[in-house]
Amino acid sequence: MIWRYIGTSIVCIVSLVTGSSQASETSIETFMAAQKVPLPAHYSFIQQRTIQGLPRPLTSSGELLINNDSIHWETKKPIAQSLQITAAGIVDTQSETQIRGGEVIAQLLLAVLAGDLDKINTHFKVTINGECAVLTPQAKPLSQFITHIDTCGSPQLNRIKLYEVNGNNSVIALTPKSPTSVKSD
Amino acid sequence: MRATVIKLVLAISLLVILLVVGNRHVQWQSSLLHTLPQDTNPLHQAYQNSQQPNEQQFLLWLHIPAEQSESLVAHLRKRVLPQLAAEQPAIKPNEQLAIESLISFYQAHAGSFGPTAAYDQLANQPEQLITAAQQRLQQPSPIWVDLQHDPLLLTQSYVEQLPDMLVGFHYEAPLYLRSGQQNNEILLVLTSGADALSQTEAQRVVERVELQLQGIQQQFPAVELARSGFIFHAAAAANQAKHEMSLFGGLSMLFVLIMLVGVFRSLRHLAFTLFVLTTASAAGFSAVFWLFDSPHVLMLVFATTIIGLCIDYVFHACIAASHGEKSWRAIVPALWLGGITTIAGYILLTFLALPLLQQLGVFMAAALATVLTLVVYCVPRFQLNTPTHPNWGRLHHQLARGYARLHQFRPQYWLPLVAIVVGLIMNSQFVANDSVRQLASSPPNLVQQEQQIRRVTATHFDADVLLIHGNSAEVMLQRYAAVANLLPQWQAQGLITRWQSFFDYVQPPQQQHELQQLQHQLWQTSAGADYLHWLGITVPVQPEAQPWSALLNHPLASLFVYPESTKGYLGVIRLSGVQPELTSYIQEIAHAEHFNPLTQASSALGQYRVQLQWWLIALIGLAWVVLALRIKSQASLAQRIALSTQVISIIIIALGGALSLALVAQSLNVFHFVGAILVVVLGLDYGIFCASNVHREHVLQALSLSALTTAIAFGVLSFSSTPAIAAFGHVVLWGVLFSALLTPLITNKK
Repeated sequence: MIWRYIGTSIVCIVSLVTGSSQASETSIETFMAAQKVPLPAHYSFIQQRTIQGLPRPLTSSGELLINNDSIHWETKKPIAQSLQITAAGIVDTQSETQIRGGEVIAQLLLAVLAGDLDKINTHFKVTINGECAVLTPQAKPLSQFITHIDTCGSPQLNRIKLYEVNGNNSVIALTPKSPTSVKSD
Repeated sequence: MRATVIKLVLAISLLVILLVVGNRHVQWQSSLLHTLPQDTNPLHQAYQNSQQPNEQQFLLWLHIPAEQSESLVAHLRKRVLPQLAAEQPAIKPNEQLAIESLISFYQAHAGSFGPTAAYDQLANQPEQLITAAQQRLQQPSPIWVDLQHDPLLLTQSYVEQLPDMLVGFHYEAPLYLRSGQQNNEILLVLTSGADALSQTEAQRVVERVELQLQGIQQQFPAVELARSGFIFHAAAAANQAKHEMSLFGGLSMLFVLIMLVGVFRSLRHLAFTLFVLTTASAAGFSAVFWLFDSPHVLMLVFATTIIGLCIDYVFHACIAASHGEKSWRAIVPALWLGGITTIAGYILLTFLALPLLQQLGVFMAAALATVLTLVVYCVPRFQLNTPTHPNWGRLHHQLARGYARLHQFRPQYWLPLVAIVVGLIMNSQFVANDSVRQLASSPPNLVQQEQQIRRVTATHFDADVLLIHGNSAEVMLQRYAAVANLLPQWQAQGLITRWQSFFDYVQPPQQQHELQQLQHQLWQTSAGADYLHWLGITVPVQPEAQPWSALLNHPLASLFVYPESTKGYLGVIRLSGVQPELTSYIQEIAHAEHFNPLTQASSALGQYRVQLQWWLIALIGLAWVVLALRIKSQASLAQRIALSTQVISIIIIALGGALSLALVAQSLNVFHFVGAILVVVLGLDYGIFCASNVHREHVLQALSLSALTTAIAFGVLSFSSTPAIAAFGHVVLWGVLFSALLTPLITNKK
């Protein structure tokens, strides 16, 4: 059940990575239209996760490679982990286990990467706040876990903030890399 | 004449008042299962009662090209669902499976529920669990458990591994969606809030849903639709029964009108027949409405047969009256004897514990009593003595002569022998099938849609359930958990293929406690302490042990646990692919019982068929005695016994022949024997008239007219798409024809 929201969140974040980097226009439509990036897109990331009850944020880092038909999410520190996302689903490439229901999320993700802004508009209410686009989930399952997602940075996207309903939040700092520097599975 | 009319008007006014007042509180039923006798087992009753909310639930499945899926989803959310919810009875998405309440329950039990594998890992390889939790924490996905109570995210992992209620579909409230390569599927789980047993409400709900579905199909021509739910079948069955009633009733009436006009050449006979029929039907319905709160629509179909029986008495009375005072005086005792034995037969039906037959018995007894009274009272007073058409008279004169020639062959001697032979043959051919599945009458298209939805959702479980009883929630849940532990073993042995149990979604308190203990031990090790240090938290406080009854707070508990009114709690495990050998395993478990409502209903039908068979044998024996004492009272006892024996022999031959022919179409069931009751009572009527002092030619005129109309009235029922009605029609059609052909063989000569 919850695996659906895991995947959905990944979708949200990755879609923002690929969809918001060129956002500089004031109108939402133009801002969203400018989010498409040439694929493959390659980023390194540092994630700082603040979880209620924990005294300090949990930090992780790794790389993100987005292709036309797959996404490779690789965490290198503190625990190595590699996720491969395709139309067939989401697979942990180390344990070779498939995340249940991942195919639905993967298909949604790939649609987003192909520039299907209708999907983003369907799932989120989009507003602009300074140099951030604020995406508020419209649909109930996602809104039960995520209050909003901020994509920030101008002209280059450099930060994604994910706010959960229960007070947790994640800040993912992104740095563009050369598309050929990470091997795609 | 004027006084007669006034009396009739007063009586009919009273009848109309009774009918109108009685009709006010009546709710028609349409499910075939509700025609069955009530199961007296309290566990079974509690289970059956608990299923009513399921009867209000229904599913709509929409299959659409992927590119149109988004638009359809938006259309469903913005137009269809609000419109369905706007009117009464409201049709709303079923929120029982909503995620919020499930998450809330598991959040309150963070750290107490964990995957089965976690127990071993905690004891032997805790590092794996720690690594998995760390990986999980670094994924950009929501964490909804409290880490201070569940540092290893065991409860969140447990929830993620729970079986889906609708396999393969993901929930985007209030829709369930599944994406395919080219097409997407949308599933709407709706509940009507209407009483599914109320035909009016069920019809209204189905009409509103169909209206929305039509709108969807117009807007999205590529959509493929399927419906599933009791309410669709109930509405279809009601429509079908009503359609058949009007079709068969109309055909019978048309044939009767043609015969009346053709034979009597009189509109007075026509008017009188319609008057008797209308009044008798009103009396029948009044009696049913006052005695039953929920009559069944199938009763209406069987009740159309009153047309044939009504005509029978009207014809005999009018034809006798047309032959003068002496003939009228001769027919009246036969009318009373025939009428009263028939009414008695129907009254006896009310002693059987089948609600449908009770309703039919009451209707027919009241209607026939009215027919008999009106015929005997009105025919001489309204001077309904127009002679029949001369050709009709000549035809029956020839027939009477023909049968008289047959009397030379002494049928009084060989009829009983033939009856014995037919009875023996019937006994050797006898094959019964009492399965209620045979009686299903849903339209094939609806059945296909039902199967389609069961296939795509994979949620279908057979009707087999395990019922577990306990005097308290705690006792019942303990027993339930013990039985649930055996399910994997039974599956491995091939005794079942699948199951659905409450303990697929919860774990017993001792298991929760064990999980807490194992975690507590881990925190005492260096690996555990390092992990807590990495998180920056202290050793979690162990929660107090929860009582068994706390499990009932689970949102899905209401699908598996039902309070019995005053006798404790009932737990249900749904099974699929049950093998007969399972029964012996379950018998060894105290307080658990294997129950299949369909098997139970079939068994009940079988018992009542057997009861009806014995009842028929008793009725025939009793009729032989009554006729031997009362038929042709001026004759000697030996002559009366001979007459009675001939009548009964003919009934047995007609019955045996009819049942043998019915066997060609389908195995015998209780509804064949409902038809057999009519064959017996009609055979008695015909026999009594033939054995009476009425001129044989006059009897034949009425008998053939009556038999033709009755055979038509009942014969059309054999074309019914409801197997139960068709079974009834087959037996009565052939039984009446055989009776009509054979009863003129009765000879009242010494």
